[in-house]
Order: sequence, then structure tokens, then C-alpha cells
Amino acid sequence: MFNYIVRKLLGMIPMLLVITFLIFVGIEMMPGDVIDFLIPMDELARMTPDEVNQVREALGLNQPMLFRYFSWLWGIVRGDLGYSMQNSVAVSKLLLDRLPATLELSIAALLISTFLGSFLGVISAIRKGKIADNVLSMAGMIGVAIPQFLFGLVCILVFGIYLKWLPVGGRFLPGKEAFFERLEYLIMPAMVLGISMTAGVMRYSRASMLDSMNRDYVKTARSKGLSEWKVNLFHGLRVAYTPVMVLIGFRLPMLIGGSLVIEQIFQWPGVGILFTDAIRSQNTPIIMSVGLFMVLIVLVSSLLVDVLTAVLDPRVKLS
Amino acid sequence: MINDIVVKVRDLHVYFYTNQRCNKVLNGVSFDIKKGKTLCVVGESGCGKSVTANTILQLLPELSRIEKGSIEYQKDDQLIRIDQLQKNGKQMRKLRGEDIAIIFQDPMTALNPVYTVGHQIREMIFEHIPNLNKKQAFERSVKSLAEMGISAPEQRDREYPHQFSGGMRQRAMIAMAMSCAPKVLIADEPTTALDVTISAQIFDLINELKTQHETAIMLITHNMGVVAEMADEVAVMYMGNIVEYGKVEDVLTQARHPYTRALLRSIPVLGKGKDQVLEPVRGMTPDPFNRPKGCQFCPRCDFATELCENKMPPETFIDENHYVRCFHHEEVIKHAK
Amino acid sequence: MSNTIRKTALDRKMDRLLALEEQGQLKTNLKSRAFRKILANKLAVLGVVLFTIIVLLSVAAPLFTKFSSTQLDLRSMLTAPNETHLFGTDQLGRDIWARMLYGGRISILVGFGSAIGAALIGVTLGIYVGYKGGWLDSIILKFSEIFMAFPQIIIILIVMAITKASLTNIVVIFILTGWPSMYRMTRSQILSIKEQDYIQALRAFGIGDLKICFKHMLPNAIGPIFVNITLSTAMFILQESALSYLGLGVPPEVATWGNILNIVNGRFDYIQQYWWLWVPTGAMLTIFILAINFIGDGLRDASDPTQLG
Repeated sequence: MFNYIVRKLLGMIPMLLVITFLIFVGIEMMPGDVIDFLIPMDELARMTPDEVNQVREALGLNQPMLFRYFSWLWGIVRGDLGYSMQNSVAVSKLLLDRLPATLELSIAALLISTFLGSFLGVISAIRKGKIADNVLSMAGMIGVAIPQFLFGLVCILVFGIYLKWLPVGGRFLPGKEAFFERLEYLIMPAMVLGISMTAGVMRYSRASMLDSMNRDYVKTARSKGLSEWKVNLFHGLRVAYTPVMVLIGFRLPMLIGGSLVIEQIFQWPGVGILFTDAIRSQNTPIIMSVGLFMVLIVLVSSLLVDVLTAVLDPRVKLS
Repeated sequence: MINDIVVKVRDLHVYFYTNQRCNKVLNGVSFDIKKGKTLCVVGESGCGKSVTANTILQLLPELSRIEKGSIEYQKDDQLIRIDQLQKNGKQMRKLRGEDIAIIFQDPMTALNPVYTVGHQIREMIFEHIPNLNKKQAFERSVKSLAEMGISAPEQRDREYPHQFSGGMRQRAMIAMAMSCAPKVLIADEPTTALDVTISAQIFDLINELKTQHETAIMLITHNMGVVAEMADEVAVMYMGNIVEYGKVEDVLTQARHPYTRALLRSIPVLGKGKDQVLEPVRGMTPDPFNRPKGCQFCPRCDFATELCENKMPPETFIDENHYVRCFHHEEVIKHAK
Repeated sequence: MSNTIRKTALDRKMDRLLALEEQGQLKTNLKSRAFRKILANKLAVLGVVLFTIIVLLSVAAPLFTKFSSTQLDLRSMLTAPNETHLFGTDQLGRDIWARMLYGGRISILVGFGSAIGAALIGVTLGIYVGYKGGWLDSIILKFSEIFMAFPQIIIILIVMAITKASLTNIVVIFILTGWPSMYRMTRSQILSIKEQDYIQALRAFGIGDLKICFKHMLPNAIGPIFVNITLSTAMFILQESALSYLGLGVPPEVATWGNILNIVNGRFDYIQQYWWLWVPTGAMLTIFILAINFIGDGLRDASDPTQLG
């Protein structure tokens, strides 16, 4: 198991190189001169071209592209992600500042969608064709169809503005930062993100469960005289669950993409807002670092999925 | 002896309701399964043999039901009407595995891939003998594996189905089925997925069960050779009916139904040389939703008359144990001579 | 006899079918089983109806509104729905109903065009390269893995930042980010079809690779491909609307469903006071996606022979 994980991690390195290089090339191709974003307009107007060049030199913008890429990469290895081009704050610091917020949101949403989605999906499969199934299936359909941002808007309107149960945005009030004081801020964004993911997980676990329940081994289990709930739980669900875990693993990129949208809507001060702001201002170090970070999350989660699959399914060998 | 009859099926009708249609899968099937005897049910695919097997244990899919007829199970002195039990109710579940066990066609899919073979056997044991401790159950599952000729049973017990070969899996399935010493074993084409030498071993095993444990066996097959080898009694099925039923020697040598004869003509006989004339059964199996009105075999039959077209022949008894569903069985047997 | 088994709803359904069957009323009239199953699936039919209505409204937009989607009218800003303006006007006095219809054109086009484009690339590669195998297959597979490792929205944002935000660009980006999943789905289909005997037989006959791929294997994989195209269409429309809502998608002067909703982004006062700015468009968008999903599900059930019921 340990060897497998190490081997997988080593195998990720070339992929990471390719991906980071692609991001880098992409950002090099961005239109406009980054210098325009670095220095306030009025200041830039007053500067002589020589002064501008000095700034360029200082920021390393005059080096060849490949050189800049590798110097950035070397920086990462040392834990140095470069500096924001706008205010010279270390990117690693910016990222670390924002990270807890995004993790908090994503993990809460992941938990909601995983548990709620698989639970409802299994219920729906067991009660196939009955009222519970029809209601859940319909809700799932709508859940998949409604855009996340629209769902967020509706929730803000209902729970935030009319009912005033929950705050409409932000993460905490200054000075009140303990977890329980923050909780009411987390509930709505996490529910919106979580529930919009739940629909997909539910539909998938229903399909997977139905598929498993049609297999011969379920009939064998029934022929042994096991009760229906044992048949469904120990045989149907036990096998159906592996593909659902895999799906949830593959959905992590979507979760992160979704958190980007949700952060905007709820003004949740996470990595997503950092990223969209950086895109708008072409802040290369931030875009690259966030891109890298997202890819890392995805790769690590796919590794986790592999390991988990191997643990859950004895047929899969870690080789 | 009437007491030898363990399972008695009379006039069984089972309909399926999938795809918004009604498919009359079984239309009046009657047979007995006797202690220490093997009943072979033979017929082409789709004729209802597997449905018959599953009906005895009420393992039918959701959109189906027993419309008519009875299934009686003789439990010691008590007579249980299986057809009247609730589908997955307590009484039915108690019968499954403890009294009547079933093994399926494909051992690749019939065992759950995520549990060890031993676990799956013990699941059965714990269900029916609940006051065993873990060690006793383990010993019992190992013993039943060993009895089925699996070498190194203690190690095999801890392995997963995918680590078994096809033949071994079917042995494990039989070990599981026999672990609670049921009175009846239903084998639903147990060797279709296996190669010839392995299937011979499996059949030997089943024969052993019959002689040593006096298990009543219902063996479903599409192979007339297997029937000749294994059966004490035969039921030939066609389109949801038993068209001929009787002792194996009567049916194979004195076949009175044109379909039985056609089946017998369509298989080569070992040792008869390579110049045998083999005749496939003429025509196609009819669409189950568009069945002939009278005798189901009528469109493919050489002896068919107007009577056959309009009326289903009743079970006509030749002697006590031999019946045939054909109006012209006298003619058939005369013609054969 | 204790023959008092309770009649369940299932039993009643079976009784009804049995009675009909006895009367000989159940006939398999329609030849195609797939088509019959779609008809039996009421939701799929509803999906087709809703889909057709919205597409018709959008395509024939000038017939249903006399306003244009861009025409400003600063004298009637933010007017509530009335006889002239069915769903009111926005903060620049543009007619919302007209914007919904004309916006539908673009949104549907973006979604459908991207899905078709992604399918063309993904399916072609999946079938041919999946069939041939070898180093090309492993390279493309690796590539698709890289593409899929990114959250799609991140690539889209990066690429949108590089190129200018324009309609063609967004479609191209959607195609670029969308083909890998199409490719992988087709490839897995092909890998199992490839092993089947009739394909081996065709090879033994010396039939050309291209012919085997597109004449013999494609038709056998077409069901899942169609399902995937419909579901991708829905996904792309959703993505476009999310991007445009955030102001990162299609240029603001082009009306799309997402762009119409962009007005209320961050404006809680608008959300609360001027419901017509977002409720009708949001509803239309959701209903359209729902309709596509209904159709997709119906197609899936119809093309999957193992799904009975």
C-alpha cells in the first residue's frame, strides 16, 4: 500500500510539470502589458521609460519565458510562490489566508452531498417506482437542472432577506470569529453548494444501487434466506458503493469549480475570489499558484479514490 | 411411495408483467420432486425452466406473480403451501437455504465479489443456525468446502471469489447451498458456464449428494445428454408447459410427444459414428406475446391437426408416472416404430 | 384457507394488465422498442414538448416580440411587467421578454454547438484511436487526464483571460474542455465492443479499419453518445450562464440567459425589488435544462436494453 502511494505520487510529477507549463504558457499569452496593472495609472504616466524598465527588471519580467518558468518552479519547491504583482504580498501568504475559508466551505459541502446524496439515492432505489422514489427522482432532476447561482439567489432571497434567518454573505463579523459564531455564515453557502452536488450523487447512487440489486449475487443472498434489509445493505449497497465513491472523487473538480461560483455569490472570502480577482487583473503568480493548487487537490483526491477503491473492492489490486 | 414426495407442484401459472405487457410464462406446470431422486427439467432457453426453479423459492422479479396453482413442501409431517407464503416473509426466508437451496447458472456472478467465500457460506449458516459461535461456524464452512472436494479449505475459506476458478466457484456455491443440509437442491443449469470435464465433476458431486444425503434434486438443463446421465425423472418443457413427464427410461425410449422426439433427434449419440442424421427442431420458437391458441408446439409439429390449433391438450397419463400433453401421442409412438 | 393476501398497488397494476392482455388490447404496434419506451416515459415526452416550445420561441423570436434585445429605452427603466413589456424592462430600459427570447438563441446555440463540437472530436478520437490502440491512444488518454484534472471552470477562466471574451471563443473553449469526457466515454464503449466476436470476424474478413470503426462500431455505441450529447448540452448552457452571471463569460452586450441575470449579481436590492429582472429568465433557463435532462434520461432508458420496466 505504502509503495503504491509513493509510486503514484512520483508518477504525478511529470503530469504536474506539463500542467504547470501549460498554465505558464497560457498566462504568457495574456494580452496587455502586466506593467499596466502593477503601477497605478497616474504614477505610470509620470514615470520615464527608464524607470518603467527598472521596475520590469526588478520584477524579473525581462528574463526569457523558460527562465521565468523554472525560477518560479524552483521557488515552489522551496515553498516560495512568488509575490502578488499588485501589492508585493507573498502569494503563499495570500493563499494560506484564503485557504481555510475555501476548505471549510468545500468540506462542508462534500460531507452534505456525500451523505445526503447516497442516503437518498439508496432509499430511492430500494423504493423504486414508489412515491418516495418518484418524489426524490423529481427533486433530483430539478436539483441537477437549476443553476447553482440561481439556487443561491433564491436561498439568499428567502432565508436571508425575507425570513432573515441567515446572513446573506460574508464569513464572519469582525471580532466574532469563533467557529460557532461563524457557523450561521457557513450554513447557506455550504447547503447551496452541497445540495446542488447532492442531486448528482443521489441520481448516481440510485442507478448504481439498482444495478447492484439486479445482480445474481443479490438473488443468491435472497436464496440464503437473508432478510430484505440484509440483502439490500450487505449485498446491494456494499457493492454499489464503490462506484459512488469513485464518482464523488471525480466530482471534486466540480466541487471546486462550484465553490468558485458560490464564493462569488455569498462573498465568501476564499481562494475562488482570489482567483477571479487575479484573472481580472492578470496577476500571473496568483493565477499560476491557484491553478497549481487546484490541480494538486484534484490529483491527490484521485489518489485517495484509488486507495479507497482498493480498500473497498478486493478485486482491485494496487499495482 | 407417496411420502417420498418432498415438493409437489400442481397446475402452476406464473405471469410476468414487464414492459407494460403480460407474459404468461408458466401455464399449468405439475411435477414432483422426490427424496433421493433427481428430476431433470429440460427444454430450450425461454421455455420457463428457470422461472419454475425460482418460483419454488419465490425468487421471482417484482413485476411477476403466481396466478394459479400450488406448490406444496413436505416438511417432516407438516405440509407447507409455499405459494401462499409472503414473498420475502419470515416463513419463506426460513425455508430458503434451510430446506430448499438453489445454485445458479453462472458461479462468476452468483457469488458476491467483495466478500470472502467463507464469509458468504457463514452468512447462510448464521442465518439458519444462529446460536453458533464464530469458531464453530468457521469449522462448519471449512467442512462444507472440504466435502465439496476443495483442497486446502481453510485457506480457500479466506479467499475471494475472483481467486477461485470457475469450477471451484461452483463447488463453493454448492458448499454454500449444502451448508445447512437442505432437503431439496435446485440446480439451475449449474454447468453452462463451465467446460466439459469440470461439469462432469460437478455432476458427480451432485450425484453423491443424492445418494449419500438423500437430497431431492431438481436439475435444470438444456442438454439431453445430461438428462440421460443424471435423471431419475424428466420433465420436458416447451413454452411454459411440461409437454412430457415421466421416468427417464420411459421418456427417452418411449417418447410420446413430438417435441421430445424432435429434441432427441437433434442431438448426436456418442459412439454411433459420424454419419448420424441430425435434425434440428423445425421452425422458430413463437413470440411469447403472440402464442398459438391451442397446443404451443402446433406450428412446428408434424402431427398437428385442427384440434391442436384450437385446444391445449390436457395432461394425458400413459401410466401412473408418465404423462404427455399431446392429442396424437398414440400416433407419434406408432410412427416411431 | 388463509388466502387473504392483501392486494397491493402492484397487484392492482398487474390485474389491470392481465385484463387488458386477455382482451387482446395490448399490441406491440410500434416497431421500434426504443421509440415505444420513450413514448411510455411521460417525462421524456414532456421534455420534448418543453424543449420544442422554447427552441421555437427563440428561433422565431421576432414573431413573439416587437422589441429587440439591445434597444435601450432610458425613459422606461425598470418598469414592472405590463401590456407592452410582458416581463418588464431592465435598468437600461431593455425589454426582458425580448432579451429572454434572443438570449435563448445564443445560449442554446452555445450549448448545443459546443456539445456537438466536443462530440465530433471526442467520438472520432474515441472510436478510431480506441480501436487502434497503441502509443497514440496512451498519449491522448494522458492528455484527456490532464484536461480532466483541472476543474473545468478554472481552464475556462484562464483561457478566457488570454483570449478576448467572445462567442466563438467561448464555444471553442467549451469544445476544448468538453471533448475529454466524450472521448473517454466513447473509448470505454469501443474497448468492450472491440472484443466482441463480430468485430473479430470483420477483421478476419479484411474489412478496412475506418469502415469497421464508423460503420460497424459507431452504430453500436450511438445510444450512450446521444445521451452524452444531450447531457453535455445542458452542462454547457449551465456553465455559460454561470460564467456570464459572474461577468466572466460572453461580452455583456450580447444577450444570453446568463448575461441577463448578470444584472442582479451582487445587487440584493434588485433581487428583492425587481423580481422580473431574474425570475422569468431563471425559470426559463431551469425549465430548458430540465427538459433536456428529461430527454436525456428517456434516451438512456430507451437505449439500454437491460432496463426493463
